[in-house]
Amino acid sequence: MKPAKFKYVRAETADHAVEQLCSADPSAKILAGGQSLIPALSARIITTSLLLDIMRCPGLDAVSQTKDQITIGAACRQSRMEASAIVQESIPLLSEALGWVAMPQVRSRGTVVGCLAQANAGGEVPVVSLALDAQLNLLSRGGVAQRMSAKDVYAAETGARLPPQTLIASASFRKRAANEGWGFSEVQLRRGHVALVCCAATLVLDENGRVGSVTIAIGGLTANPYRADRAEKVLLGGAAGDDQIIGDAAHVASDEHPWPARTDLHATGAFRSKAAVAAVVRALTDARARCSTYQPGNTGATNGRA
Amino acid sequence: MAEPDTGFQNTAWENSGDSQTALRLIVNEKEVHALVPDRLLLSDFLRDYLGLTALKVSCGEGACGGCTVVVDGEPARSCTLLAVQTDGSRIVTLEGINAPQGLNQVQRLFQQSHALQCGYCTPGLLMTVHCMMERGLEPNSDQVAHYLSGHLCRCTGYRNILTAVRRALAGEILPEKPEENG
Amino acid sequence: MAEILPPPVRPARSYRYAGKSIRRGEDPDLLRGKGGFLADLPAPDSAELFVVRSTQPHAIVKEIRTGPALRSPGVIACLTASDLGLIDDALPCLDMIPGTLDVRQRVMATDRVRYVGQPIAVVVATNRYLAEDAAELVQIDYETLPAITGHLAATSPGAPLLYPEFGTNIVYQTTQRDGNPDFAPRDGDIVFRRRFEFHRQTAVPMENRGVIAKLIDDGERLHVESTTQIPNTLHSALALAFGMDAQHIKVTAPRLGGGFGCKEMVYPEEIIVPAVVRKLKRPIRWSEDRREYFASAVHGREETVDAEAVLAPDGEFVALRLTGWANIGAAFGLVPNSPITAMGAMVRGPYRIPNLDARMFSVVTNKVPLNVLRGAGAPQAALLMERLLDEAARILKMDRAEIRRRNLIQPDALPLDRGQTDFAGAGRIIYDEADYPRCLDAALKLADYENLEKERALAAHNGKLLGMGVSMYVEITAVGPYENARIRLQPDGTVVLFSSIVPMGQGSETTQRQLVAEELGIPIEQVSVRQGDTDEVPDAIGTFASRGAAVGGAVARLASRELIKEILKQAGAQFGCASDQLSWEDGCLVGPGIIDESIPMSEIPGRLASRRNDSVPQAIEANFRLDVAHPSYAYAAHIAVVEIDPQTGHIEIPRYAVAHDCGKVANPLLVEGQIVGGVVQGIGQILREKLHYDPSGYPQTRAMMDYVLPGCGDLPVDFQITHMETPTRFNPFGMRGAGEGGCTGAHAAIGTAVADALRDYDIAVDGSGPFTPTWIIEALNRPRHT
Repeated sequence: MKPAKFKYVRAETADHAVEQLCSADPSAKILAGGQSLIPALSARIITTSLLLDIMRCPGLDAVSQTKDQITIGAACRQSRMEASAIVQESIPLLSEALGWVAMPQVRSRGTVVGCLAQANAGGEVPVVSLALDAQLNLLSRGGVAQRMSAKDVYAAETGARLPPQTLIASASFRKRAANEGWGFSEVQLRRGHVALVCCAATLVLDENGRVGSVTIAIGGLTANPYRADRAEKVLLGGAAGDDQIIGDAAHVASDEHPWPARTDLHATGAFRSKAAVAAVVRALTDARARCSTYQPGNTGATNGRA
Repeated sequence: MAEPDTGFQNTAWENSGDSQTALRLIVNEKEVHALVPDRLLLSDFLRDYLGLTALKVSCGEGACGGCTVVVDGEPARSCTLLAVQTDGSRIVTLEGINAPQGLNQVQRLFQQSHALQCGYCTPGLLMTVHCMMERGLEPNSDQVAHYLSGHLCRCTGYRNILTAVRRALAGEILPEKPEENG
Repeated sequence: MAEILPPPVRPARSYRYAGKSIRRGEDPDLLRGKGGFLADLPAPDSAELFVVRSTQPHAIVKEIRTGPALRSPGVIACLTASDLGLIDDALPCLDMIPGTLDVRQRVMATDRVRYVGQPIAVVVATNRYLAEDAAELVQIDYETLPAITGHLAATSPGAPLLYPEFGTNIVYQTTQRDGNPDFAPRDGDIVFRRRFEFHRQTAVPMENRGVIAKLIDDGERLHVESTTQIPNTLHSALALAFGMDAQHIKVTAPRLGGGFGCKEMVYPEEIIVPAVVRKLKRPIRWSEDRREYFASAVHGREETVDAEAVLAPDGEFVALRLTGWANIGAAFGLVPNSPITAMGAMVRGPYRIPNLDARMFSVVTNKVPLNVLRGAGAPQAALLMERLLDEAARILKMDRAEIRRRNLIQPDALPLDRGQTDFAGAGRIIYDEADYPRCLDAALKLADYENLEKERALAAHNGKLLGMGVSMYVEITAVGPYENARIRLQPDGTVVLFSSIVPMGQGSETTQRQLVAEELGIPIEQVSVRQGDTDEVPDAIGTFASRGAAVGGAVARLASRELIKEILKQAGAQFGCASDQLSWEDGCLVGPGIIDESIPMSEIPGRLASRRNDSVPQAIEANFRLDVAHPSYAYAAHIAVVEIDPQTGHIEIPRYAVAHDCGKVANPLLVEGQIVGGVVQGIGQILREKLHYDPSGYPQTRAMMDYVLPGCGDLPVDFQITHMETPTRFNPFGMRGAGEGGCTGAHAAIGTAVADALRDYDIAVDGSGPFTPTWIIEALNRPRHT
């Protein structure tokens, strides 16, 4: 389990990395944390002619914010973001989801943006990116910048659909609204193992406890995550305190998977479909509890079981 | 700048056509310069070039924790890192936290608690425990299991490991020689 | 190696260590990262060997082209079977009985491959990276043959044959009979049949395999270092393979990072590496990586067993009929037929069941060869028996504890002859002294069996399905046929034991040091152990079947007694008296009227030297061969409480209780470690671990993340163990083995607990699952019989 030969270059700047990508053959890859890439290279599942290490590029480890968004640079490590006060405050959904990514000893090296690029089945960060309508900020040749929505990036059944020879310089996540609740849940065979299914959800309630806005994203059921658009429509305007409504929406969310449910060594598609329902219920229930306008008992049944 | 060390087994790479990159880092408080093949894994650099054979390569994919070392203050897998990625980093291995002779406090608690059987997973585990101690984790917090979930042990069933780690986090100090019973 | 402190001036008291929880002297090295595992051993000037393995499950090998690989940078050689210069290329199999077909594995494939992972060629290069590069360039032309993976399908007419010359895929069969095997049910007897499926597993020790070989003594001798539990067996195999005198070969096993039976094997690589050394005349190292481990290290447990039980209406099991088939993979491992043989031999466990007719078969398929894995067939046997008991209880509407009590062999019926067996090393199965009923009751009490139904109702109220598995097993341990040990009082006054027991986590070094120190009456710090070296113990059996403490420890004690005798004899000669005028007390040589003061062990070489007017002290040595006529039989009751979430399929184990009897315990701390470790391993095996093959014979489980081992969250929350210590007549010190039972008990306890939790659902829980969340959810959602 030793990698095949490749050349390694420490990119001096993000532009330099892109320059190198463009002049190299298509197998060249950006190297950030490498926690997915290096094992795949060791197993010789993939090969590459060139690895471009972007971890020292100025500015890529920055976390910046505007009124509405937090932007996380490509060199920001998962452990640092998990512990970051800004992230915990403004994108708590991401902070919570990061606690489920692999194990602490992997998060010390892996990056948030790296997860988005790898698009591993069941990946937590891609799921969150869909739930938060994240934008990926790409850099291509000559300093040209473009944005892609996470939705477009994960539009196909597998893989991150990125233009060739571009670098994801950063990812932007919208900040939590004042009265917005969030929830993340995951089903694993063993703590620290992969996600069989996971769900990220956000929820805003109006003053009557009815759903004002909701996002639900499901990962692991299919290779790429998806937004449960139909379930969201079902929930809009509904009484968030009614567990029946939450449960029904969860079934819709699980059923609306746009690609076949995955069967692999760890679980069948049928199992994942069922587990996804429970994951959605848990994520929505947590989100509801965190809505600052939610009061249990005020709006319908409060049978809290997932 | 001093000449890079050639390291062990440099001749083993002769004529391979591998591109190499200069590497300068601190390992167990000592500055190391080397010129290494780009694809050399950090685990192999530490074990074969520097002779730091405490860490073990068991799964080769970052899943089991046997190769765990501390990189820039955080526990990390050396088998999922290239040596060249760690330029400028500070790395600590088990050899770097061993007492000059005998056992440190955590190790004594491990012995006392019978928290190792074959001992193969132990060096990596001790590096995570080192970080847990530095971070002052509470012995009964669920963070303990969370950190330890990064380590697989096939022998002990984990019970004595959890005991030893909790005792260490609680600040227990053992006398020099282990007790026979109890 | 223990730290040797200077001995005290005069020992003030006897040193007693047997039965004490002495902390391990091997721990400091291990904790400091100086464990001396094979991968850590210096191998200066050695080249790296990498094995090119078959990518086909079943094929004729038409051509192997090594040219492109030879031209790859750093490559020293690229070799195939015919380059190895072997006299005999069959790997040993130790459990072939008369009538067994010879499907021993060949060291390297020649014209045919029979499993994905089988060695076909090797690349030798200056380092592992370059060797892997070159291996990708080796070109192999295969002519694909149809493959077969199912053992039952492999017995059907028309199934592809792995060895056409034999005309069958059934290569081994044995019967186990007792009482009246042709017993016919009487009026009123209840008869029922179940089929049990046991899935394929692998040991996954944290340390992968490895071999380092070199020529020593000016090229006269071959030194092979290997991660083996059985260095002496490897030694004989090498001598045979090369047609060499055994004296010209030395095998050493360093400390192992776990074995669990997968290193109780003579592997192709262990012959290939030395063969390449002989050919190239340079040191060679092979280090297995984890993907190779899954591709080629031996597998375990896969069997199907049909059982027919005959019960009297009062719950007494009167007869048991079994037919069982083991899926032993493509060729024989070292002891591939033993697990299925153990099914017939040990299925009855502690239950009387006077009439038994078991027929067991080994079937070859296009999978990796099968071998023993911790428990060696006992996990499957115990699970089967306990499920039959629970079924019987259900049919008769009897309490599950009661039906067991009714069938347990009573203490006054022991020892009990259970019949001759083909199980290697067992001979005639004679159960030794035991108190099975007391053991069961102790476990039931620990597990609060009385309140089970209350607990079940409470869990149901919370939407969970709770079950309790009640199980017992009897296992063959401490097998013979013999074991040797040598012991030496060194010139410096310390004592060294030379043992064949290879340490792999069981703490054999400390256990043996305790027992030697106890026997000699000296401080344990003065005793060290050297193990796993065929030069030092040329004739030995090895480390498996839970024999390290019971047999290894026993022979160490007996060797110690021989040492004392030898000391008395030599001292008698030096002091000019009969040796019976001297004696040994409290670790000292005493002789009233002959020797003024007692001489402690550590001073004896010096004192005897000065009596000879010799400035150089000499060593005094002794050895002992312990012939083991009968194995001893450890037993236990394991009780598991499981809680199943029917929504998620997740299984928790809130409580686990063990009552365990391994005879006289040398070190309670270490025994308890073996039980806990074995149980958690068993939990992993029955809840999640499985080796998957697709129907065409391609393995799907290829890396660590594919095979879900238990983690620290899988330890039962409340885990209690109580010990009984019934000495056994079959061991000179009353010891039985303790290393494997945890695994056996966990299979039986958890398998039955899951069945109990699902008892209202008419789900057949007949086998080892694994009971993954998918398994549970699918079972719950299956249409019911009305």
